[in-house]
Amino acid sequence: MKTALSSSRRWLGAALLVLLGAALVVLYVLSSRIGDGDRIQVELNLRRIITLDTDINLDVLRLRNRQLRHYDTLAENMRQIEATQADLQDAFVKVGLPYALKRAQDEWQIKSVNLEDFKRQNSVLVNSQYHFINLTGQISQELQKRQTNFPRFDAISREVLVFINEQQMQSSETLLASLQKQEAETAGWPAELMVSKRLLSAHGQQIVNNHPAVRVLMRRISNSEFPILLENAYQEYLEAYNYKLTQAENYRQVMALFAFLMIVVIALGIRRLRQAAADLARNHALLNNITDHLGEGILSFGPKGILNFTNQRAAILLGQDGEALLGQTAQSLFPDGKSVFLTALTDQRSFEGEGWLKRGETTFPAFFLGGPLQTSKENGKEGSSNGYVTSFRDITAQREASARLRLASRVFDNLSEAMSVTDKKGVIESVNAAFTTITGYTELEARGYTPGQLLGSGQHDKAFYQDMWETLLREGKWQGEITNRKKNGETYDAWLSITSLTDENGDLLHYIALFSDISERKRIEARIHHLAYHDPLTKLANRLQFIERLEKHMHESRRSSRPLTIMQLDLDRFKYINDSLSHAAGDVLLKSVAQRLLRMLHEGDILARVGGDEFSLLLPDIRSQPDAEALAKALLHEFDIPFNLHGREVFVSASIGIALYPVDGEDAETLLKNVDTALYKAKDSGRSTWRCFQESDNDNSLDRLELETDLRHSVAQNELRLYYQPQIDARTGVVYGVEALARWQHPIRGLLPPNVFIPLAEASGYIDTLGSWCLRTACRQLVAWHQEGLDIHRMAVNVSSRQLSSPVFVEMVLNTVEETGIPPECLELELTESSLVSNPDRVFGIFTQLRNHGIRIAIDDFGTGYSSLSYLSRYPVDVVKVDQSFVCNMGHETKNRSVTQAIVLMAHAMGMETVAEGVETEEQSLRLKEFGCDLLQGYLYSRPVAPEQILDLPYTEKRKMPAA
Amino acid sequence: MSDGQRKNFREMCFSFLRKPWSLATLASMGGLLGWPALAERFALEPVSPYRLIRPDEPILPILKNKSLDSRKVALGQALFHDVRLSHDSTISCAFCHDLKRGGVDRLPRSFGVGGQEGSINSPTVYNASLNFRQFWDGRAATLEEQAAGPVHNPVEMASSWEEVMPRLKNDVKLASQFEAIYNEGPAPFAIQDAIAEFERSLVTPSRMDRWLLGEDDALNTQELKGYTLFKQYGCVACHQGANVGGNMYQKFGIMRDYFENRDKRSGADMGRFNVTGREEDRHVFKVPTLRNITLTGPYFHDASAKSLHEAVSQMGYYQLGVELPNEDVQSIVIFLYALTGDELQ
Repeated sequence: MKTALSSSRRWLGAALLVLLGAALVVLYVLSSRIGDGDRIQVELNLRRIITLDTDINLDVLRLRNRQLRHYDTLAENMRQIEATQADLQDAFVKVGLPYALKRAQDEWQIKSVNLEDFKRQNSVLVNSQYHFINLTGQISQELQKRQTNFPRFDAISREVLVFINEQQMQSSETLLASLQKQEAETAGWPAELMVSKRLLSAHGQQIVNNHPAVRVLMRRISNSEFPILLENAYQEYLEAYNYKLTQAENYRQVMALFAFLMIVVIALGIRRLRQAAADLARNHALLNNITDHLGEGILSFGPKGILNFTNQRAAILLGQDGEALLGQTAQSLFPDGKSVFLTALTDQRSFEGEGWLKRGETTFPAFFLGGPLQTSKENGKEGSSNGYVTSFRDITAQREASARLRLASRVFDNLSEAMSVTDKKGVIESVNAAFTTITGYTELEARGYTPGQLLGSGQHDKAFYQDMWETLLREGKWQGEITNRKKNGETYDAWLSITSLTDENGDLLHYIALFSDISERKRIEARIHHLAYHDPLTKLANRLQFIERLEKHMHESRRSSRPLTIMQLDLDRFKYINDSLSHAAGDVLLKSVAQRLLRMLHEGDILARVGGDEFSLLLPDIRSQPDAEALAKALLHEFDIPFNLHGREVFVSASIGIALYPVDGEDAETLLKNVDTALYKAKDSGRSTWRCFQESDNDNSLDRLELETDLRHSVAQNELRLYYQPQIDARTGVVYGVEALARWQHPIRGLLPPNVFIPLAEASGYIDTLGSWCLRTACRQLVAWHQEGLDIHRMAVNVSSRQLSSPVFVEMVLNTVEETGIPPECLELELTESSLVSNPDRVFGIFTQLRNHGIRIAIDDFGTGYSSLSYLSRYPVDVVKVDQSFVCNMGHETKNRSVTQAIVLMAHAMGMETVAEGVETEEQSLRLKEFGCDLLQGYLYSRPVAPEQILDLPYTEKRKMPAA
Repeated sequence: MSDGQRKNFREMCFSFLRKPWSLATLASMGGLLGWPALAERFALEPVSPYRLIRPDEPILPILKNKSLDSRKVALGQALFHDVRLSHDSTISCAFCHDLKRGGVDRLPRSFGVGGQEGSINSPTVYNASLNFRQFWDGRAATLEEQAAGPVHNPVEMASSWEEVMPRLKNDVKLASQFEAIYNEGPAPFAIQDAIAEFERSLVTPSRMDRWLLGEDDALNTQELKGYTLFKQYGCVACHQGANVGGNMYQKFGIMRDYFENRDKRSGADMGRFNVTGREEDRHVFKVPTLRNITLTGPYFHDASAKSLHEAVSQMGYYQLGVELPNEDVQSIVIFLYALTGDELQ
């Protein structure tokens, strides 16, 4: 309504303006049609004509009197009068008086005819007059010569001359008759006079005939009313002119008024235009602002498909500058200039659909919603097409999302874990195949029930469920163990994880429950736990548990500042008993020793079997060396009594090493090492005795110093070697990878194993140099093998925990990888369990960085350290190497209770590979394959060998790498 | 400035002071500024820039016209020779008015398109601009008016502007010439204007003119004798002025009836009667120029005089009533040679 009003007002304004303009133009024409210039021109022309006319009259007189002897001026003046009259006529027509000059013109017409007649007759008359006088004179002279007198000739000649000169109007008829009479009278004149006489007569006749006519003409000419008529016409003109002038003046006044009105209208119009322009600018800015904040791109095309508007979003999506986009054709936005959208644009149809757009050199899918732009509809008529506008958005994410959705639904169906989706009240909407497998309920059966109704076993109390719901509502998820019931009534343990699904407003949509039957896993886990912490033979704690307890007591001891004692007890010559009697006898012996030792211990002491015939004792209450030595003596005393092994009395002696915390070692590792040292000293000093650890045992040995010095030159002297022990793929039986093992070719002592010089290197800080040498050499070796076409996928290199503390460790590794060109995924770093403990966060960081570069991490000697698999699972670890002690012990264990199998299973569950070390027998190899262990390493396959020997290995499959 | 003009000027100034916004007043100011030009326009153009040395002579000297538009002259010259103005594109103005033959075809009567014979002896185009009227009977007041005549005359060019215009418009070069001068393509007005302008350039000063301007040696005694006889016999009564004729009408047969004994009579013999219908104008013709008369035979409207000699004695006989002695005719003819343009010698 408002627009209608304003539009009608606009029309009114425009119409008014046009009307005023037209009126002004008309008024201007009317007012400027006449002016002083016109009147002056008319008067000038008029005066000119009158002057010319006067000149003509004068010329006529002069011509008649032979004062003027040519007719050029007369003719020229007449011509000018005629020309000027034509101008005058135009001026008269202009004031509306086309006929006012008519009478003057007619009069001039008459006068000009008279003038032409005058010219014609006057020329004849003047000529005759001239000749008449001359001839009269000639004849008179002749007559006088002849002495003859003709009075009548004289009289007639005089009469003619008087006729001419005095302008007396004698009757021309009389004169003509006289002339004829005289002609007759002179019949008898001499012949020579006759010619002149006849000519005289002829001229006389001309004079008599023409003179009166010329006189009449002259009178008519001079009396012509032409000038008077012209003056009259001019008066008439002046009247008309003055009237026109007044009229023009009136028009001018009206014109002034109209001009003023027009100025007012225009001023108003300009004001409104300015307002409109300001509004437009505001609207434009607002539109730009709005469109620039839209999530969708906007493209607007002109009638020829040229872009004339875009928003910021469109520019971003198309990867172009907004300004640069303007003026481009629609085709240029689409790959190859083709799109369904373009067809719609050309046909001026609405379009809703997808298409591909260009973004620089790439393309992206977009969803369009567009339609033709039409000029505003007026009077119900269809507006003409004015272009095309479309919005579009990048639907790459949507497409990816829908792809993910499809994938998710496939995963949902193929998931090994049971999954159920419920509505927000907890009623099941759908379940997957695994759900049916585990619970026995199909989706059809499950739908409409809550999981509680369907699966509840009744084994959990109300508080359990309350806690579950509270957590779920608070955190949006819950996970935990729950015991449920299957369709067939069996109960099972499930690891259940429930997640609530909300929309963007946070309103609850669904619950997703994910669970697996962990009954089996739980059983294995419990068994592993026991296996892991107990020696199955003696039921004593094993090495793992012993170390855990030791750490705990050391912590306690630090707090209470009370020392504690550990002992290491080793049966002398146990191997001999084992070999000569039987393994079973050995087992009995070990059980008996355990029983006797336990009898000697107090509450709180811990006895553990940590090796074949090695026992460790943790004695928190023994706080001094003498007490410890007293106990050791007592313990050895127990061995004075023979052991009954399958009916045979056998004496077995033992040696004991003693170490005290904290004086003999501040950490478990050192303490255990030192207690070992003490044990060996006891054995060295003749067995069946005890020794306390002494610092000198380790450090002050000259031997050790010497060796350490030599070691420092080993790399430079090129004395270090790397040997390689193959790792065999358990499934195919071919060499998969190798572990690099360091050897020291000592100039005097010969080839030394790592356990001799690595501790030295670690203690002296030389380990970094040695470690990086090992790494570099191993990497180069693998690259060399690859170049030779040897298909070895893995190079395992041992890394000391000391190396990890180097701040540039990761850098060193990555540099080496880059320098040698080894594919990072072929490199595997082996670390001991204990290296994880010292600085867990730092190690975690190092592992993560290395793994991000594709390098694999293996945990060496797994099972001997303190960590459990669950502890290990927190680290990014790829491979677990089962310690050879477990492999070795496999023979003594029942099939189902294999620790090795448990480790392999658990490792696989956590996505880790397993390598078994120390495989020495076919039986072990078979068992390990059965457990699913991935790689096997041990003397059964090969000792560590020099690099050139690796080619000769029976399991190495020589084949060329695929051509690069 | 006359009193009346002064008054008008004063009024004009006052009106301007009273109504300074008036456009009409401004226009009149323009008129005021253009006044000298107007005055010039109405002033008698002097025939010669020189002082008239022999003011009493009935014949006036002529000079080459220098105030012409050379572009128009060039265009007019082209058109004058353009056969496309005729119906069948065979005849141009120059066909009958051969500039190399004294501006005539030297035939008793001219031939138009298709070999049709005209009714009258073609007059010369030289000095035609000095004639007060054109054609023998003076039916055209101006050269412009005259130029259209032969184009439309059925026995001459037998054409029409409607027929001519498309041909000229198709000539790109010619059309652009018109465009340059008249700001429009070929048009009847422009054609007439250009041809007339060209014809105004065809004035032929002669030894007679140099004599009239004071060059005494320009005429020899024989010629001067002829001139004296020319004046004494009264030839000069009609053949006077700048063009030695061409400024009046005269009856052919003043002293004796010329047509009485003619066996071949034609409509053209009626002369100006054909235009006015007045009895007085029977056998009245425009007095032709005598400039270049030696080149333009045969003579008279009917070409009855084959030689100039014959023409002079005929004129004496019929117009002056005398039978001129042979030696006098000879003298007059000698004088007439002095009227032939220097360029055309």
